[in-house]
Amino acid sequence: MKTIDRELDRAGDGITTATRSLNPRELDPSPGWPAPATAAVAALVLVLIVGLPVLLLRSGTPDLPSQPLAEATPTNRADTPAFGAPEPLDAPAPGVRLRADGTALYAATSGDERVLRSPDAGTTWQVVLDMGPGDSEGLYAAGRLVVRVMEDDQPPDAVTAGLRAYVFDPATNERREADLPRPQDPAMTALGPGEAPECALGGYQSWVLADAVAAGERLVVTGHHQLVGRLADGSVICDGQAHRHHVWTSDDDGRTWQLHPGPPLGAITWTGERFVGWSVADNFGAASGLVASTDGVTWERLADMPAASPVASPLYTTIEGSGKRLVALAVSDRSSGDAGTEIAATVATSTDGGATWTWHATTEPLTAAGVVGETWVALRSDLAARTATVVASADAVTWAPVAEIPGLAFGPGEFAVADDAIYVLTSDDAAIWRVAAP
Amino acid sequence: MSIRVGDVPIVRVETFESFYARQRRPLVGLAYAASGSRLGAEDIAQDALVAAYRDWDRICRLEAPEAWVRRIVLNRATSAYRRRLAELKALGRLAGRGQTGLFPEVTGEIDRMWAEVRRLPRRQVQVIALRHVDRLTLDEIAEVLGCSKATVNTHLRRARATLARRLHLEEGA
Repeated sequence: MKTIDRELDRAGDGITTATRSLNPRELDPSPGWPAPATAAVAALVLVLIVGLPVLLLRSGTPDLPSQPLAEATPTNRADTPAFGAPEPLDAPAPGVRLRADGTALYAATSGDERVLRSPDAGTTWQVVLDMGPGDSEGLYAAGRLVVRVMEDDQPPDAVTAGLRAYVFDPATNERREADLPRPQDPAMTALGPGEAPECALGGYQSWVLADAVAAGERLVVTGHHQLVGRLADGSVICDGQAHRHHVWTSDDDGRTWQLHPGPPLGAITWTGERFVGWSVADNFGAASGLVASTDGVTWERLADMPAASPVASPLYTTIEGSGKRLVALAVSDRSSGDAGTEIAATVATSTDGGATWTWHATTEPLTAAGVVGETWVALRSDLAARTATVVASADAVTWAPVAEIPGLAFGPGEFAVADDAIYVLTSDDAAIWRVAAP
Repeated sequence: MSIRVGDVPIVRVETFESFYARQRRPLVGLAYAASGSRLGAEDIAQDALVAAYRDWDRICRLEAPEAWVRRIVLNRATSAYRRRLAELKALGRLAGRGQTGLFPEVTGEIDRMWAEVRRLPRRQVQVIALRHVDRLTLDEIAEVLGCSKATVNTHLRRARATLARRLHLEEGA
C-alpha cells in the first residue's frame, strides 16, 4: 500500500517539475518586476574575507524594481484644487501598509514586521514597533494611537490562540501589548484531531479575526469568530458555516480589553462625536450599509446601500475623513479572464459627521478614498496598465485626475490622507509617493 | 551568513541577482503549493522578493535569507485576503496574454493531493509545503516558521495522519 510520505514527496516533485517550465521572460513585462539574473551570475557569489569587516557586494542590477520617477507631473484641471506633483519619499523599508492621522504617517513594513512613524511628511522615520518576520495585516492609525492587531494563529493545540493588540502612543512613547479576550463557544465542544474528517478545520475550535480599529472616547477593535466544533445534539459546525461578530473595547489605551457581541462590521472610524462604519452583507439577508455608535458597542443603522449598487458584497470597505466630512467606499471585483478584472465601487459621502449620507453611483475603478479640506479625493487603479491616479472631486460624482502615480497602488493601506498631503504606496516596488494638498 | 573557522571569520555575501536566480522558482512553487492559485502564485513570490530586494543590505546579512523570504511567501499564500489581492494584481499583469504567465498545470493526481493538503489548518499546510516541496529538514522548517522543532514535528505528524486517513493511505514511518 502507498504511504502518505511517499505520495507527498511525489506531489512535491510534481510542483518542482512544474516550476522548471516557468519562462522567466514571461514574468517580467510589467514595471517593477525584477528580471531574473542571467545564467552567468546565477551561481552563488562566495566571498571570503579574512580579518576584514563584512563586505557587501551589490553588483549592477539593471532590471531590478524601478525607482520612483521624480519627473512625474501633476495633471490638475481648472475645476479641481492644485495638488502638487507626486514626489518620491525616501522610504526606510519596503512598506506594505500606510496610514495617516493628522500630519503623522505610519508604514508597516514587509518581511520583518515593523511599524514606522514619520512626524514630518516622510522626511524622517522612527521604528515604533518591531516584531520580526510576520504578516503585515492590521495596522491602524486610531486617533492619537497606532494599533497593530496580530491575527489569530494556529498552534498545535485544540483551541487556537486569541488576538493580540500592540498599542503605541506617540505622545508618551509608551508601547503596550495585550491579549484580546477570546470568544468562547459554550454550546460547542472542540473536535479532536480526525474526529470529523469531513471538516477541513477539524481539531480546532474556532478562529478569531480582526477587521478594523478606531479610537475616540475609547479604543474599538472589530472582528469575527469562525465557529468550529460539535453542538450538543452531535452535529458538527465547520468550514465557515457559522460566524459570530464581536467588538473589543479598551478605555485605558489598550492596557485591558472587554469583549462584546457586535454586528458584522467593515471599516469603522471616529468622527469626533461618534463611531461610524460599514455594516457588511451577511449570509442571512442583511444588506450592506452604514451604521453609527457612540460607544462602539451598540450600533444604529444609518443608511442602506442602494439595491442598484454594483457592490452587493464588498471585497473590502473604507471610511475616512474627519469632523463633518466623511467618505465611505465599498469595493468589489469581477474577474473577466484574459480581459483582466473589473473593479466596481460605490461611494457614499456625508457632510454632517455621518448623520446623513448621500450615495453616488460611479463607473470609476476607485479603490480608496479620503477627504482633503472640502475636496473628496480617491485612488483610481488601472490593473492592466499597472498605474494609479489620484483623483479629486467636489461632488464625489465627477472625478478629475490630479496626479499620475507611476506604479500600481490598490486598496486600503496603499492610500493615506493626512492634513497636508496624500500618500500612495505602489505595490510593485513598495515605494511611497507624496502628493501635496492645496 | 557568517561562520568562523578557528578565529577567522568567513563571510559569505550573496548578490540579490544570485539570490533571485536561486530562489524565484522554488518560491513560486511554494506559493502555488500553499495557495493553490495558478494566477496568484507568481505575484505572491514576487512580493516577497521585492521586499527582500528593497531591504537587501540587511537581509543578505541574516543567517538564512532563504528562511526569511519563505516565511513571507507562506504567510501571504495562506491568507485568503492577500491571496485574492495577489490574484487581482496578476489579472492586471496578464490581461490580454492568454494563459501565459500562469503557474503551469500539474497532473490531476498531484493537484488532488495538494488540494487535500490545503484543507488542513494553515500551519500544517505550511509545514507540508516546506517539507515536501522544498525538502527542508525539521530544523530548517522551524527556522522558517519561527517555532520549535517539536512544534514542527507535531504539525507534520498530525497533517500526515489526517491526510492518510482522508486519502486511505498508510501513514508509514
